[in-house]
Amino acid sequence: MSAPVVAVDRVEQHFGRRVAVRVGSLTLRPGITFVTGANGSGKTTLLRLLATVMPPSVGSITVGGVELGAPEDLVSVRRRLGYAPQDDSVPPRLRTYDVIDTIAAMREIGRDHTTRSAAVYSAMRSMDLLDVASERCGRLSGGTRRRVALAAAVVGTPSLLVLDEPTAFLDADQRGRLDLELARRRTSTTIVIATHDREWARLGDRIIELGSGEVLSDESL
Amino acid sequence: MTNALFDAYRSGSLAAPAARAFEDRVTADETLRADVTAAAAIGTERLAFGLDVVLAATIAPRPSRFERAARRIGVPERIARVLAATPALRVAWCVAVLVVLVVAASAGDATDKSPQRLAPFLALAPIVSVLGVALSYGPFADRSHEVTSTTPLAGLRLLMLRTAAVLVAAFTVSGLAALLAPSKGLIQLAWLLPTIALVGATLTLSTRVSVQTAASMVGAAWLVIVIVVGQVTNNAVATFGAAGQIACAGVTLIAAAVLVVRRDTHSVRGLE
Repeated sequence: MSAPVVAVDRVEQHFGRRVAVRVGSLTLRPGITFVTGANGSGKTTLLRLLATVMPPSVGSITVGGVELGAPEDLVSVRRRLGYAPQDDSVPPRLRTYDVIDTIAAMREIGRDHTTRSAAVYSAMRSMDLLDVASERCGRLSGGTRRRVALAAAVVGTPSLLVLDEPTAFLDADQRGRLDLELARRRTSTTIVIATHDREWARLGDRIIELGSGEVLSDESL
Repeated sequence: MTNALFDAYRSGSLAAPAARAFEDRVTADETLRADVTAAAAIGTERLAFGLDVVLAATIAPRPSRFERAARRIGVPERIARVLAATPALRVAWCVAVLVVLVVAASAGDATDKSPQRLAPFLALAPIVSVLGVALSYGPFADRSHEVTSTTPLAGLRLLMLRTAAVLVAAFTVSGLAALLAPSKGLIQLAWLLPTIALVGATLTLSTRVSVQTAASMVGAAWLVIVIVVGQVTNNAVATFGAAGQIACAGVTLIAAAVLVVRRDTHSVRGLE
């Protein structure tokens, strides 16, 4: 499945009177786009909008030509979407394998259990989680839980991947593994990553800097 | 072994018995195994997929008791997997609820066998289910809610599935507590329809407010109704009589109709 072009058109997100994001026009193409900016600049809100977590207060977002709005359109986009939020999103009582497999099941990956299990195994291998497949997530370190969340995001090879601060809690080795995984998907996936790490962002194809919810700079690398 | 046979095996068009015979033969013969390995290199993608399937089976933990039971009664594998991850479905929670309901059902004068003695149990049993629904969905109850809300299953479909899982557990626990109650007869089942009505009302309200807020509102309203009706009629179980049951059936029907109309609300609403 080809990577979708994501188009953001005059989008605003309001929380009460506060405007968290105000983006005029933005087109995200296959490859890695980093979104940087200080705390409270609107990175997470923009990524949540792209990941269909919430609808924008104003404006529209289209993914592969499909406007996010009607429930049936949301479903079609969500089938191709992988998302890892900033906060810890791993239920502590579930086992590692079950967390990833449950997300895979919810994303309707594979027509049967066999196909899904292959996808889960592949995602776990890519994030170096095979040794902790049966561990309850509550017993895992913060870095390992982060990798579980990332494996749940990449399972089934989504064509749109949205990652919010994916390197949080990761050591150098695991960051290297994540870099490899992103490089492997670079040409076939539209990847949007929020990060504070400007050095790391130089590895991408494009850097968008946000400030007070607005685009301050947009640089292709 | 002919190339045609190998190609048929690789393409997956070989019938299961023939495929098994093929695998047995390859496993037993070292030369053949080397040939197959070399030939399989041509189709590495398929081979990698097959390998992932086999290796996944070696690391996948045994499904939970709940998941196995759901599959045994015919729930599709994918849905059983989703149901098993319902946050409220914990053995400790079920045991705690059972204890509370048994205490509620057997509280009071041990020699009293009148239906009135069941009033605390009948009032609490529906609340237990509503509480279970409140603990099964939304960012307050589910750490993975933000991720699950970006899947195709997000919204009312997921809420309904989890509600069904909670209701099965709650009905089992409430049923057990009812069996242990000293008062016997139809009154032991008088919590069933109110439970469905209250859960229906909670789901309907959750299209406007969060599930937790909806559950609090419905639970509080229910307790007020039970207490006021009991006081006015001087009969603690008056709410559970015929008129009350008909009212609950009405609430259930209205809730179902409203849910059908607002079925898409949860899919697009976002975090609360």
